[in-house]
Amino acid sequence: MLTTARTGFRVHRFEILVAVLSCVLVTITAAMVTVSLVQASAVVPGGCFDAWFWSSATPNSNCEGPVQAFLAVRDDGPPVMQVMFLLPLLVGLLLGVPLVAGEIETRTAETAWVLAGSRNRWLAYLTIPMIALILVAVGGAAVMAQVLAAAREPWLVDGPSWESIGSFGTIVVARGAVAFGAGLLAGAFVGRTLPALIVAVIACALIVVVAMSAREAWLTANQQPLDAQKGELIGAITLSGTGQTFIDSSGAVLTSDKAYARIPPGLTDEEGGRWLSDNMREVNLGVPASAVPAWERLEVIGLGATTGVLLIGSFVAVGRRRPRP
Amino acid sequence: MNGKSPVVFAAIDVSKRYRRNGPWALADVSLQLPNGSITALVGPNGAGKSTLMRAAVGFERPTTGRIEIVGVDVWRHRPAALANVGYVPQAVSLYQGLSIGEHLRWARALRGSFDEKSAVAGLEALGLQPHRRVGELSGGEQSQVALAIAVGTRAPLLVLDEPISSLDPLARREFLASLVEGAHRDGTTVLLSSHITTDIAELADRVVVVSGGKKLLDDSVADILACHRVAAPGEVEEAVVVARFPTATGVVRLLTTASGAGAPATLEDVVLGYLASSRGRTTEPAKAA
Repeated sequence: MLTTARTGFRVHRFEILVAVLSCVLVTITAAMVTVSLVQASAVVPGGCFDAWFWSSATPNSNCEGPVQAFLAVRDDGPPVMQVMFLLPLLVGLLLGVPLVAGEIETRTAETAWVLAGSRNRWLAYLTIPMIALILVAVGGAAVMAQVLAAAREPWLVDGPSWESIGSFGTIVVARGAVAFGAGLLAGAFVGRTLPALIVAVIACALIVVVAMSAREAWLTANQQPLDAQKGELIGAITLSGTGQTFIDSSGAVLTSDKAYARIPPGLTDEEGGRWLSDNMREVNLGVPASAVPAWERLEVIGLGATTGVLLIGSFVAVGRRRPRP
Repeated sequence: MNGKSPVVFAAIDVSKRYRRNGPWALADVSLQLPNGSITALVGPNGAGKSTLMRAAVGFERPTTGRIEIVGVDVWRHRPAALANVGYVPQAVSLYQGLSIGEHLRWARALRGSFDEKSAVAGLEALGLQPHRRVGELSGGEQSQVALAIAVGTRAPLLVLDEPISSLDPLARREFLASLVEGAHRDGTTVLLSSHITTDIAELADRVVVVSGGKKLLDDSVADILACHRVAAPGEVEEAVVVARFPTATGVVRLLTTASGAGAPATLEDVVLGYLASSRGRTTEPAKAA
């Protein structure tokens, strides 16, 4: 397998070079921003972040300079995280699409298929090293992005928040694998690199849209009242379109319509507002940061299963297809 | 191969069409290659040669019938059948960025039985050093590398799909000399398609003429030449005329099975005659018709 892997690496050296260099570049950039963030946050006096973001108390005047300096560096993070969202797709497609499509297009598949006898073995020899490469290259960038995500939110103690979810950690690697699978299947099915790339890009876009929709649905199903005063909003994701939400003395969650309907009749607006604040607590509906790992696991399992289906489809397509006439 | 070993290659009632209700690319073709023979599949473009070759290496599934290599059905048990095949495709398909040596190592990785040493020796004898990049080689040299890979498999059957059609005369000669030497040395059975009859006459033991998906003639070269003569119109009785065909100068000749009359036929005369005789025939497999 090593010889076949080496041949595959030599044949696809341009794609591999671009993919690996992209990952290395992003990893280095993420590392540099992380170092700057760690340095900037190290000089922020204790309690400043809490006072600045989460407490209603006026922050100490010593906080402003260091916190502002940290926030200025923090703004460098988002571009890296956005690139991290696209990087695995780029790498997966770059390595997946030409792997079979290129062999069919240049007709080398004809010689290889007869030599190998088993097309499954031939494809396995080609794909396993590429998947390993994706795991290492994208995995390295994903780990660095996770460190960057943590450095951007030094006030969090229980791991990453929902901010930039999908741009760090195992989801990134899983997205690279699924893009590779989509590219491989498109290449095996279409048999020409450029058309296969177009098909694979569309397939990846669909997969990303489905994954994001699934996340929205999961967040909606798992939303709960979060109390800002108890710090539950730190790192949480609040859902849009839910409006004001209240909890009454019995702990029941009420929408704003239901809460306002309980205001005793005859009170003025001001009195009604006071009654509301005396008898109910306004909360936000959302999902706490502690739920991030649970969703991460689900998305990775979903993307992993999709990758499995795509890879099996690729093997079936290669087994059944004819080379170029 | 001894007399008890299974036939290396057998096509049994093979028919193929690419679309439902489309034309038949092959119609009821049955073919058995004598072990150790070099058989040339001859016919015009679109005759069905490549379809048969591609079916022989599992690239096409016969619509009806089957192809067996060493008794193994190619479509049903492709890996086992292909373990006995060395193949040179119609268009040379090598990695242009890799060296000859890398190709040979790659071939060994894919086919455990690949004889890298003899392939290197054979190519070096032709002045092709392993370090040379394939992209820098001429078409003829690339064909030699492809042939060395096929022969190096030490497979009992070599399938060569018009390997010489794009080569210049000298490269063609060198290629065919390598092929004959390798095949005779190893006792390999060779199935090769071509439409260059002059080369085939020197190379092949057996010729199969196909046209319109039908097998028109299948015999040894010696018997074919012994049984056919060419004559001018009126020289022989109509009953023994196989076909009328024009020469390059436009003179009509008769291909005949009459003995004594006319002149000995060349292989090209025979092929031209049978191809001319097939014009206008419909191509339907017997079962489907």
